Amino acid sequence: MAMLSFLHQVWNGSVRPTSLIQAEATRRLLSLELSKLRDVEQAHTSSVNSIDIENIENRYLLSGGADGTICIHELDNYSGTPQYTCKVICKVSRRSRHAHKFSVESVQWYPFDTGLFTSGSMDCQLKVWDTNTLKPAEVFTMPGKIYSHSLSSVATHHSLIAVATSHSRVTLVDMRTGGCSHELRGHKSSVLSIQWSPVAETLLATGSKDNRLLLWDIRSAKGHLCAFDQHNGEAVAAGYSGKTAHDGTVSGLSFTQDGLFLVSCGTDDRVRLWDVALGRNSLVNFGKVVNDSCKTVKMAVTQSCDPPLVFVPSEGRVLVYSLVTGELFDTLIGHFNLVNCCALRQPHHELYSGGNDRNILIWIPDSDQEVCYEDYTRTAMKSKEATSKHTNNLRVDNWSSDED
Amino acid sequence: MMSRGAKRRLPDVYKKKKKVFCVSNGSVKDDNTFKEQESAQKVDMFASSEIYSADIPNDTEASLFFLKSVFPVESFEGRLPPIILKHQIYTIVKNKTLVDKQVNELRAKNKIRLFKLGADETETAIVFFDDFKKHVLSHSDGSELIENFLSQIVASCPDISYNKNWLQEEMKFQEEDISKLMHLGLLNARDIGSWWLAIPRAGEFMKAFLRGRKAVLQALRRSKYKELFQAELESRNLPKEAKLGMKYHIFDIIGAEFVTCISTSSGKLLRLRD
Repeated sequence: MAMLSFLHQVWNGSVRPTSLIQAEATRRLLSLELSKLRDVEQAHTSSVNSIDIENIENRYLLSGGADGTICIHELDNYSGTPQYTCKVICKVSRRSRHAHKFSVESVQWYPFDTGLFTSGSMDCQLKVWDTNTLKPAEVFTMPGKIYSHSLSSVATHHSLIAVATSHSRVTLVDMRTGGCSHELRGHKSSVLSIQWSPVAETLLATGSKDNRLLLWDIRSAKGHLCAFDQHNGEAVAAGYSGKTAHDGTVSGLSFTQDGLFLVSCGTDDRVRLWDVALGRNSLVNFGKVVNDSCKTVKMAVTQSCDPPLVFVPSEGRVLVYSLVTGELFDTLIGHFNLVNCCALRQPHHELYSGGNDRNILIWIPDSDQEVCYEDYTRTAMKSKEATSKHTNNLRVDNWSSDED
Repeated sequence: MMSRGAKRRLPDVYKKKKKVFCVSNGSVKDDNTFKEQESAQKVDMFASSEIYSADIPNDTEASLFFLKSVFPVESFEGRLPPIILKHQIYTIVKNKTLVDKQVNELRAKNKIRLFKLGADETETAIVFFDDFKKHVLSHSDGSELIENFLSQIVASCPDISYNKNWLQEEMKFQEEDISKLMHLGLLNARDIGSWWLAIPRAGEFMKAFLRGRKAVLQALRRSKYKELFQAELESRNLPKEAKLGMKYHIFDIIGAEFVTCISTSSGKLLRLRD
């Protein structure tokens, strides 16, 4: 009803089409539920550490597990019925000669082509894989265990992978030359989270165990561009120079899509929103967001809706917060253990989350509609079968030559 | 699986939801649009009376006044001003960002003062500035130093901590003055060369507060399923040393997110977080 009147308003020009898109996205993203009919085939024998959905077709899900396996799932459903299991279409198993020796901590698709993906592991190796042959095209050995890595989605002038390792120096490796091009010095302890800006190709943000969150411009040789300060310069004791972003490890980082804001979460059970242009804490209070994980946490931010939302894994659930006011909108409960990562499938308004319980769960809007459609198709099939049986009976030749 | 509360909080994206139609005089009238008109008129009314708007306390200030009334001044026999904890406001006003903003505004206007209390860095206490002044003056020996401190420093700088350079060079305070202020309990050592502003005799408050919080959390922990109705919890008795009263502690534990608040048909249920 409301939808029809909205469509009518768009049609007669009193409402802009973008606001319809926004309204519908908001409605759908706020009504996420665990999908009743779709699931992802369990392919990992231990926890799922990182997932990524490619942004070209939004069709393939890449996941890295603590057992060293990497899987690619097909997400599109061509079966004709809503009941669907996302099958593993290819897999780098532990037995493979090319597989990582230890836990895979982060995986990412090459943003411009699904023919390539990257993975970083605890065995200090960053591998660039050829998707078609499932063999590494390039292997980089890092000075420490790799916690996270990132490829810029807008880069036209460089093809750098930024790698966060247990070493305090952030390393940038170049895929074109196969060598290390930069080392960014500034952190005092291991770096857990790293992310390129989605708008500026030289801007990079890193979060570390030394409680600091640094913003870098890789063209500047001097050092970091700015260090985010949680107090915005207030309440600082004399003789205290270090600016900290959290009172604990900065374990998760995510830029908003317009690149103007940065969301970070830390082991001090806080989530903070930073203004990238001003380098200040925007003082949004999200309350207590429990974060016990000593690993990298992957958050997801969406801006297609109003208010913009952030999905934060916290213990066994995914919390949905408004980015503007910090209000908790929803709690997605479904995992049996810690949730490590979540990724949005933007155009479908679906959320995928992976956790220590080895599962990847699908959160979809309009779950009830899906169930209704399933019921409908089942009854339709049954009646079809019944009718076909009936006609078959008519056509069956009952004549027999056996006279006895 | 999913909390139904989320559905309720879904923002009204499709502006006009036509739920109730009342037929009068043969014409169909949308009840909601009528309400909208009514509320629009109300807003207009407030806009025209700007003279009053300055005096009307905002949500945060109003809840501060309420929380002040919850603080049992008489049980301390006037030895302490009403102390409110910042996170207690979150129990009343749900938008934490707004509360933080309005608290900062009030602090800049010198209506309230913020203090760091206790070991937990994130806990902030709030005292109304007038109460604080009255309290300090009533516990002082009437020396000039304290009056100077209040009028010069505390009134001019709304910060929660002061450093040595600023006190000595800009405010012309001597080393002895600072040590005397520390002795009186107005300054607490924070770091080398920096001090927190403090409430004299706040130790008594902290003792009662920590004792009470421990008792309340223990009551919850010992209950079946680690949950209790708020009404039931309010009727329980606290140990003698916890003078702050059950209501004060309930606001505290909800605001500090030790418990989650679930509204049921028979009142609010407080469940301990794991």
